[in-house]
Amino acid sequence: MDVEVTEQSFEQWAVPRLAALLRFAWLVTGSQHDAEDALQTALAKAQADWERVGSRAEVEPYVRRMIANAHVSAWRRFGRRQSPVAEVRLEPADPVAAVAEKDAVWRVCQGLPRQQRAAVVLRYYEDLDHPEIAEILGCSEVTVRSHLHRALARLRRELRGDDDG
Amino acid sequence: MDEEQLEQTMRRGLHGLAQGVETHGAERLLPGPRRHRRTPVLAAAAVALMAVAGLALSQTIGSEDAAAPQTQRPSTLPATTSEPSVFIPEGGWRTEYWQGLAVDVPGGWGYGGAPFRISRDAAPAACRPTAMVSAAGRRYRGLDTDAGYVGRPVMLTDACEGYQVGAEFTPAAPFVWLGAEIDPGVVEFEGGFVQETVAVLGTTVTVGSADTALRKAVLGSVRPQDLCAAKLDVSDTEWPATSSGSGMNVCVYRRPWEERRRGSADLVAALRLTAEAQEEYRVALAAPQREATVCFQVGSVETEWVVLERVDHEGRVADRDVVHLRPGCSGIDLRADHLDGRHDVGLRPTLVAPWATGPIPATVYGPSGGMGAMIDAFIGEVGPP
Repeated sequence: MDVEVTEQSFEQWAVPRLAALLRFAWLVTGSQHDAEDALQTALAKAQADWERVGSRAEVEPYVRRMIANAHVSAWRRFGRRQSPVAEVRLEPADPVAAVAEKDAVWRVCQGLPRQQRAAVVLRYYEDLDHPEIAEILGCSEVTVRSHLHRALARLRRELRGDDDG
Repeated sequence: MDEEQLEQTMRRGLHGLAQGVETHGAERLLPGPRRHRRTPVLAAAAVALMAVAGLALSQTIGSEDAAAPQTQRPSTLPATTSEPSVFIPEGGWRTEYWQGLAVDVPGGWGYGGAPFRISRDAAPAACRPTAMVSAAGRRYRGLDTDAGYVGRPVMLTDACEGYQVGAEFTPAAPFVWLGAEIDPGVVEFEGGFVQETVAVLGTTVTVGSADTALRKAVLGSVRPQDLCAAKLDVSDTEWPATSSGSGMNVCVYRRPWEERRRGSADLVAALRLTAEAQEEYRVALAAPQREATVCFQVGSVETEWVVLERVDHEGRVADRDVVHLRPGCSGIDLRADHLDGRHDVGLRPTLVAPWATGPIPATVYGPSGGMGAMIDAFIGEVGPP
């Protein structure tokens, strides 16, 4: 795997992944402009370090971590990533409910502090586990769990339509 | 709903949102000599605009703060900066509106945030207390802390600074805050910078500057305004029939998300469009329109509206268009008679560009989380860092 990645040019690696990386960056940053800036910065760093980074099998996590780190301003060296992928049931039972759900998630994310939002995206979009998220964000696992718990609590209030949500 | 169901909802929502991200043309983000990095370039028009604003300002009050817009780094202005389509009176000062008051400020100042409480129990924070949008309504691509600005208690970004006098908050540029959630009084900072807050017309006005004459000039200009209604009931059809303006007024109304069940909305910004901008809007409306989107609005509550008022030369409001800015479901209710209506035409960049200027990109969140062709017209879901 390492050899295969090393032999790829940077562009050969990057082009097929641009859309997915941009979506991830958008979820982390919350705006198209910031997402593009974060992705562009991460790609520039990845290209500069391509030989070193490309010798590892996990270039994509490296770039995603740079995006998340750039956003929360908490750079940490990354370790290996072993992420069990959670089952995501993308087909909603009711399209109207799906619109309401998406709207609620959008509003919850909009109101989250920067690090909390990044934790949510890394957990529920990237399916990273708690230690990995803690390492990326430069905080403790307890903090990560707290971020996620609070975000879910906000989502619960949002779905119920509580005024104080 | 248990924890697992909530997690699934969050996952579905995030994946659904991610599918809506504009990824077309993402190749331009690749680094390399053949790619264009989005580096701002100073436009000649911006140089002229800033120079004129700065000159007029220094002639008017001769203040060291007034020179700040001239001395800011020009590279922070985007290439798209152009002449503003907002009406600015001669003399280099412009008028800003907030709820029931009007106040004059140096014409070259941009727009930023002001302290407010993000939640009921939180201490005031400013997100963010620097100029983030130029006087022409164009985003600064980098933060320029030297530029004077008009701040409103709006969350422009999730990069917030706690407001605690003398500790976390250190002013770096002259400002006027409208409606900041701080107590009236005077705060003196090191270096001669003074911040004065007055309670007036049911809200607050705060001026920060090292220049006494500038502070007096700004505070002395505070007065009641009748360009736009200071408050509107969302479903009320009894709107004011007159205005102190003429031509086209742009009136921005908002009710806080925490008070989204409230039946009224407050004026948070207003401006008068130039004749050219009015014509541009008229032409855009006359073009073939896309059919209005049929929207699912379950769980979607409107919290902001832009009202475009046509006013005749005698100050009579002829009619109003209401711009609805629901996420994913935005459009214009033509000849509307209340805020809580349905739109007739979908929102398009050509229908937004004529009036999304001045304070709008720093005051209105907009319909699509900052995505797509109207990205610079509004704050977006979460604004620049």
